[in-house]
Amino acid sequence: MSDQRPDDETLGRALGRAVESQTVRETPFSASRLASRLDRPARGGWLGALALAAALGLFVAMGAFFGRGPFGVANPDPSASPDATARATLDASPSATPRLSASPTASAAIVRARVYFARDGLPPVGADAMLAASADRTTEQRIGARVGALITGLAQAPNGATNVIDPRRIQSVDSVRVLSGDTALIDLIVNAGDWGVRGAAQMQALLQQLVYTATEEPGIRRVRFTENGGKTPTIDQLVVDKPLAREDVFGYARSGAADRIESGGTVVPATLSAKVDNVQTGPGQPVRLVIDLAPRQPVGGGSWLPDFVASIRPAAATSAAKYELEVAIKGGTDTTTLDQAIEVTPLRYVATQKTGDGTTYRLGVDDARPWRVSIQPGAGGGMRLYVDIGGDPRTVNQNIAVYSPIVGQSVTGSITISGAARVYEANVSWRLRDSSGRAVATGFTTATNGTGPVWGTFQTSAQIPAGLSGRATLEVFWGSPRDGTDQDVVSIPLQVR
Amino acid sequence: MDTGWRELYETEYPRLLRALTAMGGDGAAAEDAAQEAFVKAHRQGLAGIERPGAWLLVVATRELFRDRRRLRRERERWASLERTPRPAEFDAASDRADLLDALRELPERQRGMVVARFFYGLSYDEIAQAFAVKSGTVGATIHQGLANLRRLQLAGQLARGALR
Repeated sequence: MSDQRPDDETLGRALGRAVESQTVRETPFSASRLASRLDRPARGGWLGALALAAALGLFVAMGAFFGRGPFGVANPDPSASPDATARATLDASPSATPRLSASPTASAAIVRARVYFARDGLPPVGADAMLAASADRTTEQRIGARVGALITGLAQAPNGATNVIDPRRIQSVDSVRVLSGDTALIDLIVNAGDWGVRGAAQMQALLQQLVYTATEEPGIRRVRFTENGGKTPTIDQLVVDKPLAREDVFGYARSGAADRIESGGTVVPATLSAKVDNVQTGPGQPVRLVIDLAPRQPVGGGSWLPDFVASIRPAAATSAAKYELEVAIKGGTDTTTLDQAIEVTPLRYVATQKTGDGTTYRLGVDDARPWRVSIQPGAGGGMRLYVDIGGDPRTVNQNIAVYSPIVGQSVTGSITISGAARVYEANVSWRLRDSSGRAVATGFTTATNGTGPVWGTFQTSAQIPAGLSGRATLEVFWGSPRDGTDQDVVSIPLQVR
Repeated sequence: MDTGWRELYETEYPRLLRALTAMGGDGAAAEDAAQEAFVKAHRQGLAGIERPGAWLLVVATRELFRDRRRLRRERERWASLERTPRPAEFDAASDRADLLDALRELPERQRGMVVARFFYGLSYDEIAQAFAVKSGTVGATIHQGLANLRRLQLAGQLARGALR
């Protein structure tokens, strides 16, 4: 201690006491990164994951929300929000308060918080972070906890998806307010106002992740972001000053999306069975509900169109889903009754409901992305309905949706071309262009249904000409009966090997 | 889970977080740096670390200062806080706040060593070893640091006096 002069020593000791007496928010060991690292190899079972998640969720996510330093920028007091009455009603009845996720697997202490990850060119995909139930109190806290969990990386990105959020740039949630009805205002601590993204693709990915995660809260449809104490952010040179809904960032052209289709078909007494399909396949594939109709007596005339109405509308403000897509089939009776939580973006649940004159399938979905219903004749006079939701925004338009090949796919020998269409005479054309844009192969196939509100499916194989290699483009389109021009062209870049 | 790591965390984390908060002023950044330091310690292995306390302090301090832009933002915050005057009364709390504010004005190296000396209570030799510098450098750095602290703290008191 004789290293300094006495007054140096006094000053030093005063400094030591000042450091000691700071108010800090400590993270307990169980919630530390070190603990999660130690836990990783040992974690095998579901219970282990749950315990780890509990520890992580309770402190880290809330830490990201509340973890402002003592010198953090001033944040508006959420209770001072003009919307306090509306929220007070929500808070007053905890049992009626929407949970972070209405998961059946969640125990009392654990809730799942859905956060979203970005995929190149595709809409975002959800994954769950585990949070302690204490994070699950008010609307604002739930929103803050989810966005906090996203920023701190509490959830693992699913295959093929990434987290574009750089936690060194977007550091924490400073405050959350519910403005009016369905809009939330979120202030983030953003390092030097730099959101850490460059270019349109990255910016869209970032906004997708933030907007989807923030609007995961039931009843919240739009979100406005501010930075560092209420400033309007400029993200990679773009001023973001308006509330954003999921549909503003999901990447689909919205003009072609229908709200309702009526098949205008025949009512046929049929036994129905439905299953969810295609939810684990590659990126950009639509989520699909397959409904098989088996007529109770033979239907004359071979192919027939069942009578059904499909429509989409906003879901109830308490639902985990933002929209509900309903397919009502007249004359059908479902003997199996599909009722399940799905939780694969964009599908949240499927419910079967018997009605006076048939069966209705209700699909809870994350957003109002384009959807379509196709028919395809099945075995023994049966008919199959495909309810397809989404698909790659780059290969889907109002009349043609290509599911195979996918953008950027490597192909050799031949290309399987499949999808859905509702085009003149059910005639779907394709053309393969080489890297210089020259057409090197063409062909066509017939879909299972032609023009009309209901789509048909198609599948064909295109031979790749010998000698073609490197970059190529597949175009799928239909020809106008008036002048033969290409309509609704879908262009898919490919790698020929 | 390894009890050794838990023990280390429970002994070292509270003071590490305080040291980092004092040096950086930003709770979230301090937390981040502290957590990262423990993860790095785990990667290194306890056997390879002679004095874990000092080691963690040095590694976390480096982590804290790694991002220059973060540092700039702190300065901006600090500047904005300066514009809001503290209560004019002279009391222990504002005195402490003055000291911490002054600490954050010091060059990084001085901050780290002053905290290592007076908050962690490390000797010059221990600091020299941890920061990988000569013992003489430690003495000089801390001396400069304290001189700067005194000057800055005095400036703060004068400013408050002027407001009275």
